[in-house]
Amino acid sequence: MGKIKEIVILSGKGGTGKTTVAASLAELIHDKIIVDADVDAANMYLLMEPENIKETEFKGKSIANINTSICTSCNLCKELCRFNAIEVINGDYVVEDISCDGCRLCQTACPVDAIEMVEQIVGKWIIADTRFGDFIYARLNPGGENSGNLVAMVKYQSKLIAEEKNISTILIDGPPGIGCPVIASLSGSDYVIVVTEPSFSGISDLKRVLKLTEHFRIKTGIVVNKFDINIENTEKIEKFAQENKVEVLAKIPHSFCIIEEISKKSIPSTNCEELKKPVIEIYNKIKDYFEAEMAN
Amino acid sequence: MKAFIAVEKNEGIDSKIDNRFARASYFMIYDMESDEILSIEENRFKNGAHGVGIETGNYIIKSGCKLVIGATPGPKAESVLRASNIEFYIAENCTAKEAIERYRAKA
Amino acid sequence: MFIAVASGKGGTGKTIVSTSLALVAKKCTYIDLDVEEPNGHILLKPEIEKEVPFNLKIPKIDEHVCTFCGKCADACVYNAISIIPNLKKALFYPDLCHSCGHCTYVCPVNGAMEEVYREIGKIRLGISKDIKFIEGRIDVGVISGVPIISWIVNNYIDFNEINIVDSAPGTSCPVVESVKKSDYIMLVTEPTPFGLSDLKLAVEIVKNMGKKAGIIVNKDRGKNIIDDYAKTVNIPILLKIPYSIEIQESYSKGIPLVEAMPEMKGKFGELIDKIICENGKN
Repeated sequence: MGKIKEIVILSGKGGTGKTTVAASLAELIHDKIIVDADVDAANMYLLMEPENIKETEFKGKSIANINTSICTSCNLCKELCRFNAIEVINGDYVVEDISCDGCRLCQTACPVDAIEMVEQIVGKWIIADTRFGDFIYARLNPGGENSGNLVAMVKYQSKLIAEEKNISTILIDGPPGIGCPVIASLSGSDYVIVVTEPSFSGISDLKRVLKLTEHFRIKTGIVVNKFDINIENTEKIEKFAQENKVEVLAKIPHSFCIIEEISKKSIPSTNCEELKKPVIEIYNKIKDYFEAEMAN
Repeated sequence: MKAFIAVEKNEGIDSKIDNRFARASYFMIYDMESDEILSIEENRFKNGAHGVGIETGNYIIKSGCKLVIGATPGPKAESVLRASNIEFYIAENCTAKEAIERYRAKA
Repeated sequence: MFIAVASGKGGTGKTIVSTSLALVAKKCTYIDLDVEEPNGHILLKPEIEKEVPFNLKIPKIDEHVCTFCGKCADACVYNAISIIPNLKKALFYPDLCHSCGHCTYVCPVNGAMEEVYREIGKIRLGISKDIKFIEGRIDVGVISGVPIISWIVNNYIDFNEINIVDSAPGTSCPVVESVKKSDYIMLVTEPTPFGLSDLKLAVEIVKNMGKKAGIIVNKDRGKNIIDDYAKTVNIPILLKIPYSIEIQESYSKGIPLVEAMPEMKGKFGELIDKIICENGKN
């Protein structure tokens, strides 16, 4: 069995159509596991119709807890905390969960050992069956800084299943932005598809994501969604891609059909003609790339 | 000389080499001179998010092992091992016993 | 007063809304806290007067003084340090460092460790018409923008003025940090299953924090799954922006909504007056 191929779909800017592209590709790729790594705002499950759901609680980083009966109010923890996570409420020293980074400096410094680190359940990850194959997604309880950890977990679980069932491809619908959860979703992957739109914001964000994929040295391809909203900007993107030796995999036109299908929770490429050809193009170009790599 | 071996299961010397390095399921420490397994422990760093390669690297440094046998390490683990001048022998799809034999044969 | 504009789902139109509000408010400060992908400047086109580097403290180990005891590496929960005693090497991985100061605190050797600055992003300050413009931006590859967000919120917001803050998409730490001190949260959504699903998560944050909030539905096409939901959670729908290809086209060219569609100007004007009036200034 060859190495498992990991394909991640990113966008930089939110709302460019990552999930649309991911779901449409999921239909085409035969032997795969689908992962929704946008753990802050998981959406793919709405299109996947998951069944036989198996949920597992996810423990995030431990956070500090002050035992007020031992605490002598010396204030040292509050002075040292770089995250402003310790407050005094009604005379008691209290750690604000949302702000605590789990660094344990306060625990080390406390002269009376009044601080302990407590594990928290910050969300859950879910394995399910769908008509497209195994599907893994996650829900992070709003507010925590555990996105990266949970993304790493769903990717790790997907690898385990792929190895166990001899599945060749892991398709990952990634998060927006360029921060921790995106970096976690990128790490160790073989190909990144960046879905962008031809607006100045889209271009600006595309450039930042490409800097990231370049930093991690991962082969990248671009998909321009709603390309016909601004042909001039689409051409700018194509020129930029050429200058940076990144392939434009496909251009998808703006389409009310896609919007309607998503509203009905259907996979858009099933019924929208204008999406079928671009998605097949994306699939073929990536397939060609992997085949060429294997031959080397 | 002590060797650190990253394995998939706890089956003694017949344990299969894990195809992940820093996230391998078990860490084995083996005495190359007396041919004894000194310890096999579950890898408690396995499910960490960031820096697992470094954590595993730090563990190996502390263990005093001069040789590491396992699957291809990721960039973080690799950088720690390189900096520590610890010898790395890549082994895949075989047992710890086979990997040790192959390592000795190549010397 | 601090009005935060947030959304669960990305791409719903936060920046369109926040910049529109800033343009109709009579004198205000616009703060772009979407530090991973700040885009407000594209629509507001500010004249940048100052660019301030944002630095985090990171440790620097002097290998000549260090005894390689390893206490710093043991203390670091982020695995950002490796100590190799027999080779007298100390390795530090800046990308993993959270700047917590724990390592420096536990180092037992005077002079072995000092803290130096690492630039992780920039804060840009400028003017656009009568709008004070502030933008936070992290460098590509930096793991978290939360320190910049925190710094801007704690140091650049004058509650005696009107502050309109564009936050990041999603519901995790950067968003929470952005909206923590707000007086009012405007949630921008789109009337799709994705929009609704993510709106629910954003509403959870709003409720947990006990903040006052309102919803703006963007890309409205008539029949609307958001209406019923808004009623069940008792959050008013403040405004609906129609789905329009013209709006998308003008946005793609960097033209603010209230300039491309003058009729929206009136609606946003009413909206901001209403919010300021109902929520008062702190």
